[in-house]
Amino acid sequence: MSAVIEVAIPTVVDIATEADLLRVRTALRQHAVAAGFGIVDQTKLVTAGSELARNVLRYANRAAANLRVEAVQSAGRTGLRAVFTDQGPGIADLDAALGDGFSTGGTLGLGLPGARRLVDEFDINSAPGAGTRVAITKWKR
Amino acid sequence: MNEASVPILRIGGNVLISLQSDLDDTAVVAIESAIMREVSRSRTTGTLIDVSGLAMVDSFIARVIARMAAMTRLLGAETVIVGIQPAVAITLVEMGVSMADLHTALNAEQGMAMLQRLLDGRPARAGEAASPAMR
Amino acid sequence: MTINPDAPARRLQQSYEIMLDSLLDEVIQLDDNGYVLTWNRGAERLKGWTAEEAIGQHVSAFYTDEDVRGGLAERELRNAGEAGRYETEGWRIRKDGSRFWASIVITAMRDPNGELLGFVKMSRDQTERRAADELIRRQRDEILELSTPVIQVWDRVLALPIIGTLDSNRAGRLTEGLLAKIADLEAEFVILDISGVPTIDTQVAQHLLKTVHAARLMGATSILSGVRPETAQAMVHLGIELGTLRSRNTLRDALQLALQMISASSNGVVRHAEALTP
Repeated sequence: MSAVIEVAIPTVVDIATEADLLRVRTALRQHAVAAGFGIVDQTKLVTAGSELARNVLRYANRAAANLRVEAVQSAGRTGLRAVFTDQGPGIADLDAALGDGFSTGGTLGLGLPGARRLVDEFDINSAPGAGTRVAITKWKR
Repeated sequence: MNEASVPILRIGGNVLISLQSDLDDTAVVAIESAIMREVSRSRTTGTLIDVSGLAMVDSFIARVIARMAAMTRLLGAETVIVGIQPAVAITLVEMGVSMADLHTALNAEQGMAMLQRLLDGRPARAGEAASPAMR
Repeated sequence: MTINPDAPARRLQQSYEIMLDSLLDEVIQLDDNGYVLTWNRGAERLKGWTAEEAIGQHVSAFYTDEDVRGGLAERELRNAGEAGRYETEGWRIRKDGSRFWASIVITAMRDPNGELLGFVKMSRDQTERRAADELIRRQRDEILELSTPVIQVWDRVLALPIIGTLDSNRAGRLTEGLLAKIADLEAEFVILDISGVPTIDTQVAQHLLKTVHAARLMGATSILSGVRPETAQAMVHLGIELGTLRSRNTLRDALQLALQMISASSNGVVRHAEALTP
């Protein structure tokens, strides 16, 4: 009889290369499934996470960056929080970045407004030289 | 992934390409060149981009798809995106990613019927690249 | 239970305590700062703490961590102090850390001069009632869902009669159900009948347009039906733009339009009649 190996769903994923994008999506999907999210909410969380992870890769200039996923609870609800942190150059104009149509990288914006619409809570802290931290939370319906 | 290993299927005057979920930048470049080469090398009038294997489409992938459609149009072929999954459709709409100027169909069969209609110049259904105002 | 007004005070006090203990509910007294002065058997049964353990504790010991952080206990006592009596419901914590949903009444006690002496707090466990309420709500939602099924009215043509108000939760669920059916039945046309929706405001219109857009991404063309002249007028007033979304007065007319579009696009005859105008 073979031993049963329990593989823990990773709660911290380093974001350094493109290959890590797949790990980010997989971790978020696994956590969402484990948390009992329906397929639509799973997809929304994974998609928002993918947007944010791509931003990290594109703008953090190879500085240290990671995703941390944690289960959260509040007033009887359960959910997931995904926190993307990087030590990159930071976003100079947060207001503009959060508005639709903003772009500095020659692409259609940072994807922040879109990602924000997919989650229940969206907190961003960023300043030039201080890195960026984006926390998204989705509650189980 | 190199150009030679991109899976492109030819069905008559149409070309079918299936996108897989781990689409990194190198894969995108390889797929785009493969499509361009295949569409221009023989008389291709239509392209089907099958995304039924994608459990998620973010704005990057949406742009990639739109770019592929634009490229094939430059080569004289129409493109229909097929197989957008329900959860993906809902998410794209919620995000505000328009994809309004792209033809979309449920599956390859409906997609080919749509390509035929576009080729014949028959009146477009609203499903064909003319979506209701979203703003 | 009769109480002889001539009975000695001690006997009166005893009777009072017996009465308190016989109550199933929690009835406790707090001082004016919220610290527990008395604790009846109902409180012990409800929260798990004995009187010895509870007396002297602050009432916030029985609140959840988030509520303690938010200063809820102090706020509730203040409200009771101002209004004289304060009723509320919320999650509370037992000695073993488990949660229960409580129904609470806090009454402020004042001396003849109006000085605040303390509070009387009565609590009742409503966890079961709350669970029953939620079950009823869920069942009602499901019934509402059942009453708005997606119907296949023709080969490749679905109809979704929407009855009742459309909030974002409901719209989301209806859309999910619709898209699943589109995939299942390979539908190419969807008729959204809104004659059963009482008011079409900007938000409802946005929900509808999102549903239409999502259906289109799956290759299905939508037609709105059940649009009465007043509704159309209201929508124009609100500046709601339907774009290329077609609409018809009745579901029957909408089905006719769908069939026309199917035949026009499949027999090669170029017909512009219905194609571009809403």
